[in-house]
Amino acid sequence: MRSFLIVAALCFATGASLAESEHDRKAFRAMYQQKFPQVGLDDFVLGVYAIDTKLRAQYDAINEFPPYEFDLDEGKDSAYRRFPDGSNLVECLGENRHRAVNNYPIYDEKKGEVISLPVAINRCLERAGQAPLSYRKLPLSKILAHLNYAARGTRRDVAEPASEQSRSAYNAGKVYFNTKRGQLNLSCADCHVRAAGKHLREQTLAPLLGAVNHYPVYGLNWGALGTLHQRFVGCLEQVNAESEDLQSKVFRELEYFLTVMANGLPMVGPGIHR
Amino acid sequence: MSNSIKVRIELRGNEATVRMLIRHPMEIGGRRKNGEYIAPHFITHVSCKHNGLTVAQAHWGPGISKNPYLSLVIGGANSGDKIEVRWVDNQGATDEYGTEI
Repeated sequence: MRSFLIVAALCFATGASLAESEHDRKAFRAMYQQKFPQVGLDDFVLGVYAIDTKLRAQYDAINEFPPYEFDLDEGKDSAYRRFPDGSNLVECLGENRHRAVNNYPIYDEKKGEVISLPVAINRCLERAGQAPLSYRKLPLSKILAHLNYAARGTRRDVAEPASEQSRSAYNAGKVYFNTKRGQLNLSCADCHVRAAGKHLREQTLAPLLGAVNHYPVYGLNWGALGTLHQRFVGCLEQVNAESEDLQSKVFRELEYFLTVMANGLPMVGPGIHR
Repeated sequence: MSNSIKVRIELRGNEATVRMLIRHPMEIGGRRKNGEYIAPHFITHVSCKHNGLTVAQAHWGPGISKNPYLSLVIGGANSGDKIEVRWVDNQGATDEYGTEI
């Protein structure tokens, strides 16, 4: 009887946790939809281009011949390059483990950490005896660009945080998102939730619902592709906050939170930023 | 070779919009990297031929961006016409790409 009660309590706890991320997502979406009633839910993944028609026209014009075309080719070559053992990155990432790009980031229960796509790529490389790629350099961004481009047409499908551990990672990401930091004392939510659609100098602040689905991005000011975590660093620098390392634990947890919010929305990467 | 040029053509009536992306460093030169001067390396000449006839030429200098994009509209174009694009840079390197509308 006692064990039955414990099982029942565990089931209840799991049920409650599932409801938690789903509840958060519902609230997150409702808030943006109330703020921008003219934007369809799927369009939010475009970020600022969803809410600004003039920028959207520029974006569409650039996309007739996007500047990252050559990078896609190079990324594809690297993704399919055979390792000495005969496998390649795409096989390692997906088929062997029944996972696709739209399932990342995943929560690794054994290691107790969030595994983002770049980390998974480096794990694959290490397993095949190859040198891992730098998280801040172009070869990795190009592979990410190809993988995301190939995943266009699918929808983000990340497992909801169900276990105790994964819930705490999710919550850490949520807390990071809402914590004020830096000399300007701004949180991610201050700019991208409360002030979304307002202007910061000549830039429109982008809504963040599903924006992770358009990464990596080609930065027109960088003249190159950049990753999601490089964008996080950019945000932190802009509020004069101490930055974190690319693919650090906190950044991956933040990515996890944002990606769970983006669940079910279309994959449209790579995107273009100004 | 021709892996440095990508061309996309859109035909509307008799007007073909030719869009091209060229992969090139477009280095202006004169800068130092690790104490060494970087040699200038940029495209000086781009031409586009329509059925063998040169319809557009561009004389470029170091002020053009890296991986430049160029688009042009050709009148009197029909489906199946041949389009050739060619560039030459200041170090004598060249590349060309031919396709059909």
